[in-house]
Amino acid sequence: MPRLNHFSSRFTFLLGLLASTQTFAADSEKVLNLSVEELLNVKVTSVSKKAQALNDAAAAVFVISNEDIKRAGATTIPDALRLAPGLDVAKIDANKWAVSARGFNGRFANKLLVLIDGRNAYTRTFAGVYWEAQDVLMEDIDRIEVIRGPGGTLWGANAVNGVINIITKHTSSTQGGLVAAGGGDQEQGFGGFRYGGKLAEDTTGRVYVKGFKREQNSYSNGQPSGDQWDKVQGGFRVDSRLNAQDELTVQGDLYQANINQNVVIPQLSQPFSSLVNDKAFANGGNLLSKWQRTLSPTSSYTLQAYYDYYNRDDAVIKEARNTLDLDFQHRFALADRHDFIWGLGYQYSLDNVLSSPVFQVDPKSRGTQLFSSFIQDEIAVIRDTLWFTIGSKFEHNDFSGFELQPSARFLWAPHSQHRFWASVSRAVRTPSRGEENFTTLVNVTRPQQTQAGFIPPVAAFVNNSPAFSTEHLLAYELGYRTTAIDSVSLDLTLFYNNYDSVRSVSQVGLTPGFPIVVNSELTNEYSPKTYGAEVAVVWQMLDWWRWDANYSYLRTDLSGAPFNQLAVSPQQRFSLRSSLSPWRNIDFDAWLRYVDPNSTISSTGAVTIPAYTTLDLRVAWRPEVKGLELSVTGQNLLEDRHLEYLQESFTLPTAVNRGVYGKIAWEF
Amino acid sequence: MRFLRAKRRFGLCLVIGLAIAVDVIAVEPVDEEILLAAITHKFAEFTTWPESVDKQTQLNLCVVGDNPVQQAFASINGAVVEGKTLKLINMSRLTNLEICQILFIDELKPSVLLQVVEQIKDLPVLTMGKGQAFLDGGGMVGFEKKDDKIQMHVDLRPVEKARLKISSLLLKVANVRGGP
Repeated sequence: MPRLNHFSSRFTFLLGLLASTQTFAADSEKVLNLSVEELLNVKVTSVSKKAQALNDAAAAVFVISNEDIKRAGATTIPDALRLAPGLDVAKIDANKWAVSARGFNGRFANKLLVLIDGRNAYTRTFAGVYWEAQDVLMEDIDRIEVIRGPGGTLWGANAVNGVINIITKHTSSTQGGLVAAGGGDQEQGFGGFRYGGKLAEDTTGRVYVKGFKREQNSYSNGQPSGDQWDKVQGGFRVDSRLNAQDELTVQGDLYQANINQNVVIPQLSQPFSSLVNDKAFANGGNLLSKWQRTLSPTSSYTLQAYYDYYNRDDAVIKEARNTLDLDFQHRFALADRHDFIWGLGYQYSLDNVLSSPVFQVDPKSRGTQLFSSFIQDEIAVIRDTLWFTIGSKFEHNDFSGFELQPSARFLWAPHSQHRFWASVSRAVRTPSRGEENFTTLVNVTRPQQTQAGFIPPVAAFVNNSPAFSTEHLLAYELGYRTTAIDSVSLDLTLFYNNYDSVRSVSQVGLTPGFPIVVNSELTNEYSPKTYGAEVAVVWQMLDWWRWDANYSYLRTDLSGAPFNQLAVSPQQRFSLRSSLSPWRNIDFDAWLRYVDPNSTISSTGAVTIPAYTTLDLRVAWRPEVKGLELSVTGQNLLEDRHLEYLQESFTLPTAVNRGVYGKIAWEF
Repeated sequence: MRFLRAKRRFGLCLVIGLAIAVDVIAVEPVDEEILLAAITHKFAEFTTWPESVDKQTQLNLCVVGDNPVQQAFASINGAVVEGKTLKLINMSRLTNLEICQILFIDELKPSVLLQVVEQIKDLPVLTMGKGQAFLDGGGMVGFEKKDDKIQMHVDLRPVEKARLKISSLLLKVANVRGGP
């Protein structure tokens, strides 16, 4: 009979109708007849709750926990992001990454918004993220929320294909010390120290410092690629409860990095391009303050202000940027069924960019403003069962003027184990400073003597254009989440993205000479479409053995755009992770990933990156000493090296090397 | 012989009895939420509400928590305690807190928790939550997981303020604050 029950429960799941509550029912029956004394003697577990919790958002949300990051052995934020379904994370070289969701990836990918504790990591210079500049003490990450699909209504422009929210722990949960150190062949050496303490009755704080030195990778012929780098970063955070209603957070970070890279710099005279062994320098810092007032269980407001500075000095670009940002948000319930949230924002960003052999910049310095506001109402149409969320962002920026980003979302919870959601949203990607004020010498081909005759050198310039404007997206999404099978949760999302006015490059002139100069201009002529599916499954097979699998399918329809002008992300990605703890003090983790071929746009045209499969393994041991953990992690173990991406211009194809590192972490 | 058989039978009963006990208590750990739901059931049984509530035929059990928590508490929905039917209410939004006789809070930001407690402090609502921090925030009963078992903490001051009485049957196995 039990077996039959089991079978039938799976059958009902397949029909998507009813839920199996067998274990729950059996367990409840057992414990309900016990006395209080007996109840307090029952051993409890909470592992299945983590696997069974369903997200109540009407969006494709995936949460990466601190534990996930630790057990994956991720040493960088982009590596941690590989844990999420639907994210396209590719390492360009030791110090550069391309990260995007649902297509159009690139080192200068411009459709993803990244926030670290509410601070925008996105740069106006190219409407993307310098991933090598973004870091936190990985042990202090509370979680990373990954939202695929448009998040413009709440988060603003450029949250076109996704939002990444990196949230660090409250200082009350990082009390005491942490020392972490280790090293290996690729991760040559790293160390981190954090100390948290109580500063006053209701005030806690922490300080940290971290640093690392990472080894260079290789070109496909095995030659070293000169991309080694090192970085040191430190920071602090203080959280204070001022009274029963008010909380204040102040935090800040400072970093500096020495980045080595081999870059190909084009030039108009002989030999038309040169390979520069560049020693780049980057530094920056930020200071953020957040004040939260909780007026009632259903009403609160937040005021946040931050200042962010970064400076980058390399052979391709020399720039410095100062950003000041103010945000206000108010949330309140109205008339039982409405949950409103509205906000106002202002940002001022002042930069200073020097012209280089690659970029001609005019004006050299520019200060730009961004005004924004948003309102959203979550309406409980049927209490605890059906919600309708409608809202819009309204913003004005100095590049494209007024922008509107509305969205409408449904969430239906017919049963505690099932969630269905659907959404339609509009998002925009506003032009960057680079697109509006830079002229780029993308490439100069060398002269060639062929059988057909002599081919003179050709220099390709891309000029900014006043006509270049905002890119638009209309996105449709459908989602389903369930925990109908015991200890399994499944999250499925389908999407269709209809883009309009996407950046294109149109040739506008040709000047004969030596080299021949081809001038092009930025235009908005492409209307690509993408569609696909993302599936994430968690199976808590046993209390001490968990499986995480995800699969993403993405089709890119360039709709007439030439193949060599838009990057096409991998069609399929697959990730399978096993987290095994056979004893309380031993962890054994394995992580297998497969990525389909993708095409990237280099200065000489489209390049296809072959598919790859890779495996990471980690073993950890916690000896009897409290808070101590020793671990060994192997990354990219299946091959000596593999290529994941090729930057749009200036760098040579660099393969990611296999690496092994050991780590000691002690919390005291 | 007969004595021996009886002894054997007794032994067999003991083994089966032990096996059942072991099955429940030692071998298979139970989901924390299910156990908390069962303990909440005991509180519904051994708490006395003021007269206004006492006349009702229904006890509203409001639960703030995600789907695994709601699911665990569904096991005691509809149970009859002291002539009253327990009715599970999913508090997906923190509105209408005054309709609750029991309010179980799985997880809330400390600042929001303070406001919840503030809003119902004079009402006859038995508040239950996680850890001693729940009591620090003004809650009545806090459950803490220690060595894979559940410990109970009770603060009698808010209990008395809300005109509730918790039976000594429960208090004798709890860590009590604010007692006489």
